[in-house]
Amino acid sequence: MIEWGTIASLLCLVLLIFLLWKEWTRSSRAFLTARLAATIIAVLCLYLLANPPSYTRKVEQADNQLIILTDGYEQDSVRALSGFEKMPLYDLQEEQSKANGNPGMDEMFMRHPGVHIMHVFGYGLRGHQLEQLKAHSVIFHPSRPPAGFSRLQYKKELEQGEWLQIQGSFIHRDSGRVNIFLSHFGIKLDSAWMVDGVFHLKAIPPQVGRATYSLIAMKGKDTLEKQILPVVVNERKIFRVLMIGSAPGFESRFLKDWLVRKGYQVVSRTRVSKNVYSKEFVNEDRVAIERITDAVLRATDLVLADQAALASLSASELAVIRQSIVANGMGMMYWADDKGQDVFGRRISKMPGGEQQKLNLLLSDSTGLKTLGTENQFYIPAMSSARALVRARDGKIYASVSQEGKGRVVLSTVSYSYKWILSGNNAEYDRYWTSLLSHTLGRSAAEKWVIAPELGFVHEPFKLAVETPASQPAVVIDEQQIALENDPVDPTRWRGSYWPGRAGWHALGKTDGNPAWFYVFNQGAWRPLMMSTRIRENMEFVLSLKVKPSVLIKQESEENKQVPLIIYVLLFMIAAGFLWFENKRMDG
Amino acid sequence: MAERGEHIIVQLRRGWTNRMLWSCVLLAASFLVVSVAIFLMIFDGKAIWIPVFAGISGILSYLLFYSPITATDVASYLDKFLPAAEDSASLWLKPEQELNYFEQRQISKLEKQFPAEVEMPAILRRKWKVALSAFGAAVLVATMIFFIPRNVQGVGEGMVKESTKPREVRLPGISEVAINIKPPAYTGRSARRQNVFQIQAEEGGEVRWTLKTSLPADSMMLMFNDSTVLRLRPSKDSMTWSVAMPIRKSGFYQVKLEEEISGFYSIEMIPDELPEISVHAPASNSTIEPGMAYRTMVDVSVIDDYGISATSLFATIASGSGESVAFREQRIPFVGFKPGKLRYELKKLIDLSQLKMEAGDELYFYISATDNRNNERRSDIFIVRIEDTAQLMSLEGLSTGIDLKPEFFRSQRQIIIETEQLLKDQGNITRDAFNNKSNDLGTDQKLLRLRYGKFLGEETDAEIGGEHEEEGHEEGHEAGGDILDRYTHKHDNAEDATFFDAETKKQLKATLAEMWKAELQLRTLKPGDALPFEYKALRLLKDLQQSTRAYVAKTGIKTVPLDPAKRLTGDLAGVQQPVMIRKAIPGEEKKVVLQRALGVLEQLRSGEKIADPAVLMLKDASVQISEKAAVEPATYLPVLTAIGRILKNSYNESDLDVAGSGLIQIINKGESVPVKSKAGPARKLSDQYFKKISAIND
Repeated sequence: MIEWGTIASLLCLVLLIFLLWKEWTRSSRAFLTARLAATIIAVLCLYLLANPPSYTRKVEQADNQLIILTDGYEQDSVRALSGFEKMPLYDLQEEQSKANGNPGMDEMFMRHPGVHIMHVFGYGLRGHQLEQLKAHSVIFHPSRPPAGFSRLQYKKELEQGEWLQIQGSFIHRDSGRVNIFLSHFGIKLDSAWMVDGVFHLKAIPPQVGRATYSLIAMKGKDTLEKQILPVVVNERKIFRVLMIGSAPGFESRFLKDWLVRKGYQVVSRTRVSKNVYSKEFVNEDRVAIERITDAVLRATDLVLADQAALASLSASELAVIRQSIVANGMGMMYWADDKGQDVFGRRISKMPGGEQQKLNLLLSDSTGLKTLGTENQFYIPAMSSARALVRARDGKIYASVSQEGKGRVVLSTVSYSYKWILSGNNAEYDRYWTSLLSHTLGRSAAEKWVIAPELGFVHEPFKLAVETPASQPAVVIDEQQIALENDPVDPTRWRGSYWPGRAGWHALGKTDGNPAWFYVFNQGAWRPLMMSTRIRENMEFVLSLKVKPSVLIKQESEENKQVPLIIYVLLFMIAAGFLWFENKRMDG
Repeated sequence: MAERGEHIIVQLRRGWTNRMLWSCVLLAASFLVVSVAIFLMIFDGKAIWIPVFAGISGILSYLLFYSPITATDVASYLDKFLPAAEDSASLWLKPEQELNYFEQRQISKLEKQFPAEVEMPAILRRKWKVALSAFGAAVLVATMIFFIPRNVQGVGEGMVKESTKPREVRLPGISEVAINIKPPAYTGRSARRQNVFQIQAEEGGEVRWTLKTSLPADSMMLMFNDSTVLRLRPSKDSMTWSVAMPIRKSGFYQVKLEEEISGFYSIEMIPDELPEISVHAPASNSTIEPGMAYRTMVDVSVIDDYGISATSLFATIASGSGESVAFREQRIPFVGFKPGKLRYELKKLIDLSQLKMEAGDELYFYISATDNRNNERRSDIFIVRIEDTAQLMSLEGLSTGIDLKPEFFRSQRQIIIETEQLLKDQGNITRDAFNNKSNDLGTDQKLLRLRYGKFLGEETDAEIGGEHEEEGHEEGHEAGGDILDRYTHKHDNAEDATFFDAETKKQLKATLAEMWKAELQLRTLKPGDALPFEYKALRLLKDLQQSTRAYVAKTGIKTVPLDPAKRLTGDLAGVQQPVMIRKAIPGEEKKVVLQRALGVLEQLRSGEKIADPAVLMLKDASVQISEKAAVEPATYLPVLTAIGRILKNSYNESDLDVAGSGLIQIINKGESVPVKSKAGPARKLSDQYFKKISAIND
């Protein structure tokens, strides 16, 4: 199919040649050049009328665009934006210093009312500033995140004896390996080489109470960055453990000693013959434990038993135990080493292979333990209601936990962990039981405050949130009463905010009397981390916007323009008119 | 005439050789300069090593650059490169008598036209240039090394602070301090004098304090960490005070001038170590096999910190067996031992036959070393046993019990007896007879070995006790077999299809190996050398025989007669219920005190006022630190001082750091314990939900 344009141009060409030939062969030579020119113009205009040319023109839309300069912007990247000269500038840093704080964007809207599209340069805007731009189009041109810590995750509040784990990443653009140190009072607690920009530190905090550790990034002997890391360690609660055994055994014996060494209160009752029990009270006064009653279990945090012992309990005793677990959040761990009747309805399976096998166990955090020789080993078939705590490398489960009401019940089939101690691997035993019992104990349901942000700065708002059964929680920070607002949906939730006026530790006086400590950083601390976070936030904000500003700009700027057709018509008229007039003159 | 020619050559040769030598010297010098500069400046070496370096550089450059130049070399060079020599310079070296007419003519022509100056060979010029530039570079490098700042410090992580020793603070009233430390005489160290209070003294050394006050004072005393007090005696003008005390343990002390008390000063005692004895030979339990020489080499090194006064070897010889064991004791001195040195490497060859030891006897010995302070230390006891052949030969044990292979056993014994007989008869029989007999014994040994080999499934001569060699297997077949092995369970493995367990088989194999060695010696007509192997084989066989026996002694026990009336009634009425009540204070309790104190330091660091309980925590911790400081004053005394200042509320930032780092060092590591982590807040709502759900389910 021949296109219209081609047909038109061919026709025009034929017409032009014909007309030119006609003019050329005319006897009269007067005005020959003018006539030829007029012919060409006329035909050309005809052609252009048939094929109107169009051109794309960059539309200057600068009048509704704005450049916002934030912290860390680079001049070159601003220059790289086409048409930046025509756009108005709004320097947020300048405004910030003028306002001596973090102003909102109201001032900008006042000064530049018709603005549609905002180009944000630098590390980006703060959360409350972004909120105000929700209805607008924002194009974010982020600067490179500054070198330094870019992500950090750790638990600020720990219990005594709990591991402090710090994970994070560090941006380092030069060559050379970066070593990350965690230190307190100049003593190294842990250190790690950074691998692929990520590091992982682990230490048991040496102190009880508060501490501001130093997190230091070093390359060789150069300190790249040094930041404060606040950590609060609560003095641990001494738990009371009740051990019920159907027969004396190594496992319970070693575990009891271990618990005692760790300072627990231990009450143990082991059946040695029919109706004869060996009883032991460590750090405890003697109580009657012939029968397991509500009174016995009242202050107990943890029950350790074996399957046979549980099976030998009366129905009422079992009911009391179950009630304590479900309603009071008591933890329970029991060993199953036979396919006997299970009072909690859990099943175990005999492991294929001989009695003596080697087990390579993994804890729930995927850390491996040293090989353990088995005896008559069972494993726990996977169940949807139970979560695996200890598993072997082949995936078989050897201990699993299930939630029973408020409490937890752990079933274990490893009844010879004492072999670690016998072979001198005390650390393995320690790790195994710390992990297993921590999971059995579960989580305490104390009044807990959520103080956001994680890293907060002086003269910036902190959000406080609490869920408490108290009817009117009163909060005092720095002897200043904080008013809390009740959640309209959930009456146990309360919210408030606080603007710290100084850096350092702040005590949040809770209703239960124990202060919750939080640390307020000086402005400028953790700057690389904050900037990296801000870049991420801004990116996410831009992604969440409904109007994609890039599309907007493209539509407006690439508009097709046509020269008005009337020009060709007029030109044709003039050319044709001249030819006609000239012909007439000749005739005349 | 030719003399002139020869003269030219000799001169040239001398000149060139000189030049070569000089290049050598220059090169050596440049090596020397660089190496000495590096050694002295960077490694802080001693100047005494310079000649060694000089020697090495000399040899190095000689090897690199020097090659001797002979007269022939010079002549051939001239012939080759100097046109004026007309290829005839070598004629000069020819004896005049051997020259023919033309050659003489040529020589005289040459001598006339020979140029006065001959250019030096290019190779020599190049060597000279190389040596010159090397020397220049060496001087440059040495200068650079000289200007590099020495002792570039910075080892250690920048963050871990060195506990910089604070300058000692004296009481304002004390103007002069002189402490004389007199080490005990046995150390051989001279007395020294210092003007700081921190003391490092040898154990038992006497320390004399002489303190001068700026004004006459009423009293001055030293207060020690074990709460003893030492009063200083004043001079007449009450301005110079002195006292002396022997040092018996580490600790710290304070000076009390009238009512003013100074800070803590450490006393570090350098304890006198006991001599250290290490015995390199013999092993703690060694056996002299029959046929081996009755002697053992004792190789000992003895070390002490101040010197050893005596060392000797105490030997006890036990002879006899059963109930008639006799002991003899003997002290054997080390020959050539001269007391007083710090380190000795002693060797002593003990001839057991000289000690009148016989087969079956045992020698027990230990080394004792005494240092200058009369501290004696003894080594472990070492045992040397002479194997008794009579025991091996005895038939005891054969006559009773299970005997798997008595026949073979006798054969091995017989071989030994016959070998010994053969050796005895060696002088009386002909060479041929001796050789034949030896060979026959070898055959016997082989037969014996093969018969034992049958127990292991070895039926051919080629297999000698060791692993079965897998000959004749084709590669492909073998690979297939491997794969098959992995998935099949073999019942018909010849190796496993015997009556013996793995351990017995291993021992049998070892026996066969010994037999093989004995046979080898016998077949090579050296029955004397075969004897130890034969004995070894016999002993292994004997062990094998014994290992399969178990002896259970018959014992008689007396039990309480059972009461048939009570039996099997299940009556537990009289049985007590065991109850145990105990209080166990966990070992970490002490640690928790320190951990709390560390928390308190943080409060101080953040500028908070601390309450009384917190002060108490610090006081508790300081008690523990002072215990530590008494043992390791150098490390923990500054910590104690810092805590003291904190308790007095007159501290600064660095005191907190010192105290904090000290506490962390004592705590070492927090203990991991199972915890109930605080994660979920109290959920009233979820409680409600749970209750409702339970109600529905019920």
